[in-house]
Amino acid sequence: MVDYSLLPRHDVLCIDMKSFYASCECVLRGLDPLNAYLVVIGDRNYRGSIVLASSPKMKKEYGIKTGNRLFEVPRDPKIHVVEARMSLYLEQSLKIARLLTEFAPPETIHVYSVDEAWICVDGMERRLGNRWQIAQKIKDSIWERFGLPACIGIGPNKFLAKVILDIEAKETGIAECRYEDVPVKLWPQPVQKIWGIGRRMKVRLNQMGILTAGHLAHYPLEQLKKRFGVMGEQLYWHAWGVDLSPVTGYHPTKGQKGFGHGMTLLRDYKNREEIKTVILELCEEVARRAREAKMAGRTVSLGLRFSDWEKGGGFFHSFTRREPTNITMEIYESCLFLFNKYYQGETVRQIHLSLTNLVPERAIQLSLFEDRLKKHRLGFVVDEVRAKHGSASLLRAPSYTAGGIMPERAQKIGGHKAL
Amino acid sequence: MKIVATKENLLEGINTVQKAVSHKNTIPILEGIYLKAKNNFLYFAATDLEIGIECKVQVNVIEEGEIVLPARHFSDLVRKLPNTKITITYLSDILGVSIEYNEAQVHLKGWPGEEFPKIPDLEGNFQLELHTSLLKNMIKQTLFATSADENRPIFTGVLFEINDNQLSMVSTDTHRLVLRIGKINNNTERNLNLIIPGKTLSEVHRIMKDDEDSIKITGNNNQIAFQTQDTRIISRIIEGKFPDYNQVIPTSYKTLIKVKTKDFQETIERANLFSSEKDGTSIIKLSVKDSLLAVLSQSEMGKVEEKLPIYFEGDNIEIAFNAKYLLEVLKVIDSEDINMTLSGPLNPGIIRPGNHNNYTYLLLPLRTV
Repeated sequence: MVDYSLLPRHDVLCIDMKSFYASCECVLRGLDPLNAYLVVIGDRNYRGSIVLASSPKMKKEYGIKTGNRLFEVPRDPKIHVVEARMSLYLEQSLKIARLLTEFAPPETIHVYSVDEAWICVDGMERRLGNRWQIAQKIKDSIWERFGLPACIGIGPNKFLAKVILDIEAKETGIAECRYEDVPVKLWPQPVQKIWGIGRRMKVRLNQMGILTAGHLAHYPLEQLKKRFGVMGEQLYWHAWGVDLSPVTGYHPTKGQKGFGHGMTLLRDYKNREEIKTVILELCEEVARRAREAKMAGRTVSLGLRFSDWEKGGGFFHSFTRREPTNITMEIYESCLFLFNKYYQGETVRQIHLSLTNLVPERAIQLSLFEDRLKKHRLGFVVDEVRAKHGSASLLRAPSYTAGGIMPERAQKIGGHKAL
Repeated sequence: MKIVATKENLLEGINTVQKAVSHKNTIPILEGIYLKAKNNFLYFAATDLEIGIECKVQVNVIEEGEIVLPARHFSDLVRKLPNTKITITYLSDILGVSIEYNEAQVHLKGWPGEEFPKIPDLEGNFQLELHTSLLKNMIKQTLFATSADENRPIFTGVLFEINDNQLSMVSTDTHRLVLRIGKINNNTERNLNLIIPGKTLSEVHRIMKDDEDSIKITGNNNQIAFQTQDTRIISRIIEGKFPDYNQVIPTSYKTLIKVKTKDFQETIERANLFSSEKDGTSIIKLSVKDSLLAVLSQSEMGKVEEKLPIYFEGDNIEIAFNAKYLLEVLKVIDSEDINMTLSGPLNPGIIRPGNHNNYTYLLLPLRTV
């Protein structure tokens, strides 16, 4: 048993924008987000294009939700099929984040994604009322100001706020889960409903006979630790509703551990040269962000996921350099080392790479056989040109070959059309 | 096979060959140590097919024979044995051995000895003999500057070059370069130029005993072998062309300083205390002015600034180096003072021992931003 009286009790709200992209589109088109039939898709010209969001009515009446394909959307004149305009949604998302700062100071807000945020409202009672009243006020102001529907989960920590949002508030609008409610509200839920348990973890847990959060909470902790390491411990405590992560003071740039970039490819890549082209392009992105932050990193990691008809799978490996770097070609060199060592001709669908082990760039170690200073300066010059004339204004030659993704990626945000 | 040995006998053999045991799991038998009992010697051998080490230890052989035992289990066991008479007997029914000591008996399974790849006798097309003390010193002074970067294999090795009666060993990781020259006598061989893997040299360094006078080296274009009285190491050679080191060592300079090795080393060690990096890298700024060398280092934790008296000629200069690269060389230089020549803040600095010219350490500076 967990003694809840020893655990901190905060007032944490987890705010989720209902069908965010779809709702934004409805508002921009003068439709009512709650009554319109609208789906947002990636690319109208491609029948397999994925549904990014659908309005509540679409979900309820047609069962079309995120992850469906364009060809599954019925052809009905009342259904609006629109292409994503990511930059507009981002703008809207920023405005909402700004609105939250009217309720509580910035350090209590953790913007988790484009449509989700946590806010800790400890000590706001005198000014704004209790946590339920505050949640209602936030929900109302988002509706009044932007015409967008929101749902809010309330909990004593970030985890429970998020979980109750997912399992209850998305239906009811606002819901709360206190520690006392964990056995009633959390335990009957199947494990995959718990935030942090994905498809693969679900299978592994189910194989151990763990089907619900309640099963997990009553599984011997030792066994979970043995099986899953520290993650096992986290799973166990989460199942009891315990989450000791700090509720305030989150800032994305603080303690930046690394720069990573990933890309799901638009088609299967099999040709080594084409895969290397994409790796080079991602190296450039990673290096650019490191340079922008005036950081350099020593560890380069490369991850490839194989296409489904390879039966999935992939690899993730790291290489630690002797000297930190933010020079594109040096990062690329390390990637190629990993690539040549581990890649065996599989069909690739997803590429991810990152630069970690960061240090502030205070000095550059010169080298005997190459002009590192020149290469280093070159990176900054290229960055400047791109900042001024657009990210696709100056590209490496391989980017213009068939494998290149940059010319197209430059038009996109989060992998979808920017406008 | 049946032998009687002491724990010390066995440990000596195991420790000598252990580094050559393969960890790659591709050929299971290579994870073993080969043992052969013959003529009152127990022969040990291990190889990962890149390097092979074999040695012999005098024991009491009752029955001759051979076996391969799993290296990890065998060595862990021997390390934990009491100091007493140990009998190892071949057991054909489990294809392994019985290890007996006091009233105890351990059974350990192995592989048939004849399946272990023989470490070949090298068909050498050159042969020479070096003083162990010289080779030991030369390895110590060059090996540390090799690179660990498997991307560029030639830099993971040390260049081994013989011109007439002079042996040069050179290593570099592209940030610094070491050249150590040694005199050899009665070299009857033609000139040589090959790159020996760093790992091999570190093993060679380990097997050379202080009471032995010389070590025999034989080799051809693919392999090289080192032989002491009881031990033999055979290794592949790294293919490729080592960069022309003579070209990168500058012959002129603008600033010359002479400083006490020990003082300089201790100063840098203090300055490096606040280094934020775990591996001892940090930025050390040197500033030479009016017969004083100022050493400065700064991090979030604090800063250290020290001034050392030096002999100095030429221009004033400010230059930054990686502390680790300075310390590594100061630790292996065995002269009381060093000469350091500099030619501007972005050009390589050179460190040489104060009393002789057989050692050159070239170090590229850091450019601070």
